[in-house]
Formats: sequence, structure tokens, C-alpha cells
Amino acid sequence: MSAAGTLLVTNLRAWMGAKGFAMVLVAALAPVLLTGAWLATHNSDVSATNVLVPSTLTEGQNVTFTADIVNLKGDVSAFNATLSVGRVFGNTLSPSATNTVLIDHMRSGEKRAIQLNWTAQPGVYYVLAEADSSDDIGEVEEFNNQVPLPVAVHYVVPTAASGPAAPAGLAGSANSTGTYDVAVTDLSIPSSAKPGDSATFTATFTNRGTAAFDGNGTLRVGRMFGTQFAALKDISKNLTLAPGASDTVSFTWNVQEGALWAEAYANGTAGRDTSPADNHVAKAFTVDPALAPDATPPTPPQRLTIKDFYLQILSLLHLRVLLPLVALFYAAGVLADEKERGTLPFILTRAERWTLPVTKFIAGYAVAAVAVVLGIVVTYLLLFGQPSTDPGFLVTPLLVSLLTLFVYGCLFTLLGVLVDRPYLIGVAFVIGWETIVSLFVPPVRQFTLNQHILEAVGGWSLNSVQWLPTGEGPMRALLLLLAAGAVFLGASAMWMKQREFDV
Amino acid sequence: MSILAAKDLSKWYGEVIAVNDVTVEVQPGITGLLGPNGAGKSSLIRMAMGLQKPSAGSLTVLDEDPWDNTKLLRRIGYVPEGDAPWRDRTGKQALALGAKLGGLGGQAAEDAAAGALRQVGLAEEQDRKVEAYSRGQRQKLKLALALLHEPELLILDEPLLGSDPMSRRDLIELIKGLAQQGKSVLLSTHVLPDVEAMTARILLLNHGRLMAHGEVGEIRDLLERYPRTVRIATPDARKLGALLWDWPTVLSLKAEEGAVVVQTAKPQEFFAALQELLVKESIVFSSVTSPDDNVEAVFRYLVGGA
Repeated sequence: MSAAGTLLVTNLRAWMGAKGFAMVLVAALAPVLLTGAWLATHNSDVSATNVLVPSTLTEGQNVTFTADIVNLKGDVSAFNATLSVGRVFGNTLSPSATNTVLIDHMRSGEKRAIQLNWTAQPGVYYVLAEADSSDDIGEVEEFNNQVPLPVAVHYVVPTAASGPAAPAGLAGSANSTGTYDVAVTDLSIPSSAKPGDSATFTATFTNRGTAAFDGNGTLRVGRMFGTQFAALKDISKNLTLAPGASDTVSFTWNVQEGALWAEAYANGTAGRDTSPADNHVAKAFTVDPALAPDATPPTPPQRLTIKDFYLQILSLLHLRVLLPLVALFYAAGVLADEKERGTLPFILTRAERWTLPVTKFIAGYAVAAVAVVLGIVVTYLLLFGQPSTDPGFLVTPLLVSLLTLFVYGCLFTLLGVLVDRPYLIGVAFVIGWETIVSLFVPPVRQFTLNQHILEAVGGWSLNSVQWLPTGEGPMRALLLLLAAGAVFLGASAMWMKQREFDV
Repeated sequence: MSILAAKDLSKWYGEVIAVNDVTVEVQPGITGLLGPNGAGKSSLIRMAMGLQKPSAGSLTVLDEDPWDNTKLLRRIGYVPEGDAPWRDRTGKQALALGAKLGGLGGQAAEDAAAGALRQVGLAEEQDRKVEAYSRGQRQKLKLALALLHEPELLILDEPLLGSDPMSRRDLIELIKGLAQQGKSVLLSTHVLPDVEAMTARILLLNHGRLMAHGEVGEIRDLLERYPRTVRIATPDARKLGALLWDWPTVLSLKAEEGAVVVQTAKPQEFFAALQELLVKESIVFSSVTSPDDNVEAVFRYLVGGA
């Protein structure tokens, strides 16, 4: 075995004692203990289920919505359950009616029904059933607390009596003796249309009299406000109809939601209509609200889910503090440890100098990596129960943690070669620079390793206070970190050759 | 070929000068490197072992520049100051590790370890952990580590420090034996008699400067011209002072609380007579020390109280 190989084995062996045990204990058990504590306080799981909502409702209909609140895991103390109905603006439900029920205690497997009475108003609504709406209890899974269901409330078709009255003057001139008889013989409206649909409205006018008709045919669509008709679309056309002749007036319109009216009427410019009662026809129709294809249900409030917790442990504890400190622990003692053991002069005068930082790094990294992998795997299994839950949640954290351990290890190896007392500087760097400065002084974030490590994983579940992306992207961040590690380690080896020793 | 050659050699740390313009050639054989704390001995040895670079001038060991010269360093057996390394291993394991680090293969390393242990008289202790060794045994182990590669030159930094009289005698004999086998030895120490027991040739440093390079007798003669202080700690200080008052070997006498401090120009005669007196008069004493009996004192005389 070469001198470097001997040194590597010796350094590996050096980790087999109390120091290595302490590192494994911290690196592996810290996340596991945190997870255990979290699980101990998040051991229940309440859920909303069986939400009963009619698919359609009609304006003015009295309806009772029901839902079940079920406790899937653990006994829980008091919490609120809410059943609401309302419109969604943005991602938020603006309730029209709410019923909040205090559930004082619930055993595992127990179920409670809640209900909400409501008088339907036209429109598209969401009925939202929510367990633990005030976030009073810690749960293993927060995503099953809410069940939103859409419901459309249709308009009632207006009665004939509420429609528009025939305009005045349809009978023609009172002094005239003409004998035409114009009539609206057909008013065609869409049988069903959704808001925004393009629909064609057509009125057919026929002269049933013995004299020619000369006048206007009008077609209008609009709403009634009391007795007043407010046109949304209208058109008039000059009509000249010989006895027995017909003509049509038509338009196409993008229909609007609501209870609407279409009316058609004809009035002559000369002569007199022998039967003016049939000069005006009005028809009611409804364009009912419909759920837009891109409609989004109300977004659940931000709560710490099991996956959030897992990712936050990894990103805030592992990547930001624990792994850098573990790296400091295993790497920075490159010279200090050997000095303490009294072995430094013997190594320096026998082996090639560069082999000391490199072999110490490899040995420390190997042991630390085993501990870290162990900690992450156990944490993952504790939280998700089985390996198949989401392999990405296991593999990515493992790779990023190993990368973190690598790049910080290389940096602290360099620090250990540069200075005699690296630990204090290292702790100040991890806590001060990598954590506090990078959190509160955004301009320097790009000069921290942690920023690039989080870039490599897209920040995971961190908010903008905890992490701000620089936009460099995962691949560039990854390459930058690998390059930085190689530079740090190379610099350690180079400096080791140049450094003087007072041992 | 000189074992060590320095030309205008200086080493400073910031504003502190450790080695100041030293020019010397050390010939094969045993050479004692003497000087008080801060004299520059350790700096000179570190430069000789390639651990530090000269700030000015040049230094060669076995005619080669030792800086970044692993090949040369493996021709040198080095005993640094401080405790033995790899204390959690047995003596044999520690030596085998040292041999492997020096480039020896598996069995060759084992054989070298066994041979070195025999050479220093630790063969019977080879399976004990180094941490269980006495101070003297650890010094021997360090010497064994230095011998693993059959070095041409041994550089020993305070090799006798902390050793009990038996180990000290063994180590001195061992070093002398190695010299007789043709190895050159450069050893640093505070204690003049230790050097005298091994060699007549010394190299004296003080405040980084080369004060003397030559035979120890010359230095000794210089020392004899100046009085030596002896302090006898005893509860019968008054009685002892009265008895010593008119001794011809005593130049001055001072009674202190619980001690008598004497200056003598002939320490050898004085010590012999004092021993007889203490026994004859049944005077209880707790220690007899000579603050001057080290190289620091020699230097005080040499440099006029510096």
C-alpha cells in the first residue's frame, strides 16, 4: 500500500472512535429526533369527506348542504369544522353563508356530520367543507382537511307577465284607412346557450293584410328592471311587405348570463294596421351560469404539511446548518487533529504533504456521508412510512446532502490548512455568513454556498424570507458547486505543499 | 560531505528573529545543538527537516535542499519534540504505520518495525499500547520511528527530555552506538552533561546567533571561570549556613527562608563535600539545585549576563 493509501486507512480508522461516533450521532440522529418530535405532536389526522351538493340548483331554492368530518388517526381535542358556500375570487372563497361547528373531542375513526342551509342565488359557487379550519391541531396530513365542490345556481325563467309591454303606436296612423296587417309570426331564440356563446336571434314579419306594409321591423334582447326593458342588443330594419309577403330581422350576439327577454315588433310609417295585437311578440329565456373550464377551487391556507416539514428539515436544518457544521467537524481538523495527536511532524516528514488534506477529506467525507445518508433515510421512512411513497423525496435530498457535505468539506479542509484554529472561524462562517448574512442581506446571497445549494433544488418549500432564487438554475448551480469544491480541495493540496509548520 | 551546511541563514517570524545570519558546516558524527529556550534550535531543526523555509540565506542537509524534498527526508531519521505519536496503537503497530507512511510495503514495514523495536530495546513492549509506555519508553519509541528507514542522519530534538535516569542512560548509549555504526547525529538539548556524555562537539546558539561551534571542553572551561550557584532547601538553613561559612570552595553564602544559597567556583569539589556534610551532620534537606546548571546559565556567562 502506498503512503497515501496508508494515510487514508489511518484517517478512516481515526473516525472509528468517540469522535466518529459523535459525528454519526449528530448527523444521523438530529433530523431523526426532530422528526420524532414533530410526529409526536402531529399524530392525528382529521379530514372532510362525503360533501353532498346537488349538481344544479335554481334561484331561490332552499338547500341544505351536508358534509362529514372524520378523524382518521389519533384522539383529538377541540377543533373547528366549517361548511361554507360562496364565490371564489382569485384563490379565495368569499363566503355567502358559513356554518362553523366546534367539535370538542373526537376519537379515532369517529365521524360527525355538519350542515349548512342556504337560499340559492344565481351564479357559480363553491361549497367548502373544512376540518380543523382554525388550525388548532397538529396533523400528519393537512392536505385532506378541505373538500371544495362547485355548484351552479340557475336562473328562473321569467313569467310572461313580467316581460316587456308592446311599444305604443304599433297600430299606425289613426287617420289612415289602410288595410295592411303586419304580424311577428316567429321569434327564434337559442334553446340553450352558455355565457359567451354566439347565438342567432331571428324575428319573422308577415303581412297578412290586403294592402302593402311599409315600416320598420325591430328585434331586441335585454333585461327587465321592474317594468323597464334595458336592451343589450337591438336592430331595426325597413320592411316593405306586399300582402302575403314575409321578411326577417336577425342578429348574432355573444350571450350574457341572466334571465333575459327577446322581443320583436313592427310599426308602419303610413296606413293603419287592421290587427295590431300581433305586431309585438316577447319571449323569455335564461342563460345559466357555468363553471369555467379553467376555474380553480379555493386554495387551502398555507399549513405545514408532512412534506413541507420534511423539506424544511432538509433545507433549513440540513443544508443550512447541520451539514456545514458536520463538514466543519470532519474537515477542518486536517492539521489541528494531527497536531493534537502529535502525529503531524511524523507525517509531514514521511508522506507527500498534499496527501494529508486529501486523504483526511476522503476519510471524513466517507464517514460523514454514511451518517447523513442514514439520517435522511430514517427520517424519510419515519415520515412517509415506506420507500415507495415518492422516491424523488428520498433520492434528491440524498444527492443534494452529499453535494453539500462535499463542497463545505472541501472549503473547511482549505480553512484547516490555512489557519491553526479553524473551528471558531468555521462556526462563525456557517452561522454568521451562510445563515444570518445570507438571510438578512440579500445582495450577498449569491456569495454564499447555501444559496447555490438551494438553487440546485429550486428552493424546495422555502418562502421568500428563507430563500430568494437568483435564477441561475439547478444545473448551473450544481456545476458551480462541484467546481468550487474541486478548487477548494486543490487549493488545500497546493497550500499544504507551500505551508510552513512550527511542529 | 557535511551533514548540515548553513550560509548566512536567517529565519524570522514577523519582527521576531529566530535564526540570525548563521553560517556553519556540521561534519558527520554526533553534534550537540545547545541553547536556551528561544535560542533558535527548533527553528534550525525545522528548516533542516523541510518544515520551514529560510527567510534568508541557504541551508542544505546531506548536500540537498530539504524543502519539499520527501526523498531526502526519508534519508533522515527525525525525532521531534513532544510525545510519541499513535498512542492508541501498540508499539509494533505504531512503528509499522510509520514505516508504511515512509513508503515501505507490508512485510517490509513489519520487519522494519520489529528491527527498530529490538534496536531501541522495546521488543518486549511491542504489543503494549503506546499510551501505557513510560516517558522514557516513548522517547525510545520515537527514536525507533526515526530508525525505521535506516537513515544516514538522525536529527533529534530534545531526545532525552523527561526520561528517567535509566532510560536516559540507555538512550545515550543507543545514540552513541548508532554513531559508531556510521550514522551522523544532530541532537538538541538544554542540558550540557547530556551532550558531554555523547560527544565533544557542540554548536551553541543564543538569540538566534551562533555563539560557538567546537569542543565542549572549551565551553566548559569558560564556564569554570565563573561562579556557580547552588541552592540547598533545608529547614536547618541556619545550621547549614554556619557549617558552610568558612569552606574554601564557597565564594559567597546567603541564608534564605528554608534554604541556603551558595556561590562556588569549584562545583565538583563542593558537591562532593556537601554530600558528606549532610550525612555527617544529619541535616534534613528537600532539594539541592543549581539554577546555573543548564545551557541557559552557560549562555549568561558567555554573553556577559545577557
